[in-house]
Amino acid sequence: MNLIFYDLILIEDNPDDAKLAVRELQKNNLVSNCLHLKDGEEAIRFFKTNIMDVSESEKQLPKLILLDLKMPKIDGLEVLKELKTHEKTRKIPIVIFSSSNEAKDIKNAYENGADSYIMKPVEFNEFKNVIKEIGLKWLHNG
Amino acid sequence: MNMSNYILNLNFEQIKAILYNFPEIVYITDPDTYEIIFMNKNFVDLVGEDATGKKCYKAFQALEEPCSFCTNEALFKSSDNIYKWEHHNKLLDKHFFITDQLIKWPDGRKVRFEIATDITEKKKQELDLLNKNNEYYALNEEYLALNEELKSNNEELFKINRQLEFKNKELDETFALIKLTKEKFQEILDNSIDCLWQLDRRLHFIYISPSIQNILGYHVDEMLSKPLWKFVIRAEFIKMARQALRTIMNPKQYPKTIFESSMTHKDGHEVPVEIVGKAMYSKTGKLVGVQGSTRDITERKIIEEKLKAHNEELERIVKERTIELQNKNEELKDFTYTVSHDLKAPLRAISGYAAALQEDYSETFDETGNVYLKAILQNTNKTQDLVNELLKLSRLNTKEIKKQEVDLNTIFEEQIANYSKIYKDKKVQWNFNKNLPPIYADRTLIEQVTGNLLDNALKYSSKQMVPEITIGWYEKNKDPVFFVKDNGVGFNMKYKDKLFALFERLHQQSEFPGMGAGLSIVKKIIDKHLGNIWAESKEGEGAVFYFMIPNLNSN
Repeated sequence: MNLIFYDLILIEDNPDDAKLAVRELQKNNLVSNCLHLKDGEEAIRFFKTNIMDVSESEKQLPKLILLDLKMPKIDGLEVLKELKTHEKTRKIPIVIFSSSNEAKDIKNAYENGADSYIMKPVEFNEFKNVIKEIGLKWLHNG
Repeated sequence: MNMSNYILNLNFEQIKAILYNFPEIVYITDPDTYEIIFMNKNFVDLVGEDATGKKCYKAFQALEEPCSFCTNEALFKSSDNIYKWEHHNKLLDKHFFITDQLIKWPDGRKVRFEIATDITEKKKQELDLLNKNNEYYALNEEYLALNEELKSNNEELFKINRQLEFKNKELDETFALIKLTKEKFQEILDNSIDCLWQLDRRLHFIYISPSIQNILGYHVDEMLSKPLWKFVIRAEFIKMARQALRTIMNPKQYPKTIFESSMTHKDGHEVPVEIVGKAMYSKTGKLVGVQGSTRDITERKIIEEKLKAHNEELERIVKERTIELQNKNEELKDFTYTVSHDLKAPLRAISGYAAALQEDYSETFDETGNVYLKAILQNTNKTQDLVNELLKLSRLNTKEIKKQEVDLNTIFEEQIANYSKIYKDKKVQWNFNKNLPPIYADRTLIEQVTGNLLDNALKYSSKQMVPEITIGWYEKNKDPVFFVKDNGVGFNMKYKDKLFALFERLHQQSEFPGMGAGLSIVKKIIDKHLGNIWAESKEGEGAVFYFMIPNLNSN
């Protein structure tokens, strides 16, 4: 299987959030090739088949994983644990992008290796700004 | 021939003989020598001897010399030589009426001729009469006095009589009333639903009112002089009655006892009864029996049973409903949270796509299309605000409050500083002495309270030239009451109940922006602290919001 290079992998069960986030990043030229995975199960399967079980160079790793926490089947925290404990994936920066502002979730995320925790704003304008900030910090070249 | 001539013709001896037998006392003395010359028979008999020749004072008075009362001198002096007098002779203890006369004795001497009539009896009668008279007089006096007394007594009696007559009339009326009352009473007794009775000391009926027939089926005559135990048969009720009787008859106990028991009907079934009993005592304080009343409480018992069942049913329903309500409440809380939470993402999507449309396709839309798009965005934003407020409120429901000592001064200070930054173009007059006492509360929640109150105050006074906001406190019932006062538009007090209701607004949103959730959040927080919040205002004259949280040490 040929691995296509993705600079951003978005793990998000809400397709609208995903679409609007990607739009914002693309509008600001912050992302060229983005993959959207719709839940934890899909994410784990993708990483297993495309990274963990394949002997490819690190170059093919994405610049950023933007991970939602509350998802059906396998939730974001489990995905985080899986990726951050596996040798081949643990170096990929993972930013948690969740609507939860519960202390428990934030603490769990950082304890399990999250590189950042950003609350998903309710209001679209803020959402837009936050996404742009994330893109500028983690995806911007140079 | 007259009497004088006749006497003159009698000789001296003849005269002496006549005188001797004369029925009165006659004697003759010589007034010079006091020698007795003659004593007639009557006088001799009286004195006991013929004292002729003896001195008169010696013979008749047992004196040694002439009597001090001797009448000789008076006799000589009187013109006709006659002297009449009364004399009491001490020796004889007799009274005499005496007539003395000087006459010429045959030998030529002038002698004293004395005739005495014994008037002792007459004197005695006279004296008696006098005594009687005196007695009578005294009696008369007494009588008169008595009469006076009687007269006044009579008046008194008259008065008393009148009073008595009046009393009598009253008594008559009273008796009539008593009779009437007695008849009425008897009628009441006979017709009362409750049965009234009296038992003697042996607990035999000595009186029982006719209503017993309605209760126990017995005629009065069937019960009179029969023992109580003929009508209370079942052991448990006998025991109960004995217990009650002991209580009643013990003077140390309460004088009256009310208890529920059962008596046996003539046809054998048990009749639930309520009995009021009281001991009867004679005037000397001796226990003579028991009296009281008996009421058939069959109906009441049935109703009580029904009520009890009904109550139990009600209680069960209430319990069920409460649990249902609690579940509903929990559900509702969850629902509010879930709905508001789940609405967030779609709302964000709507506004996101609308914004995307506006950015990327606004040229494709005509003017109306762009107006509609703008409306979608505005409404989405408004809905987002609503959802946010709802979320805050629903989080408050589940949030546990963590109390600690909170210094309101620093909180207000920080918030004032923040607002001053936000409203730096606007000059606000802050009146705040920073002298607020500490309270015991959840700091984060209290910050929301003060923040919302300041927010409100600033919002509604924003149209003033110089908004003036005062923060202070006073003590009421040992608890501090804090207040935030503004000089804004205020509100009509008739809407004060709507102030704290969720999404209620007293002003147009176009005038003052906001969701109308701020004060409901404030109230919820104050309620969670078991405190109180209220407001005072007049339209156009600013508003004061007061809040109180029970004192520090009351935990």
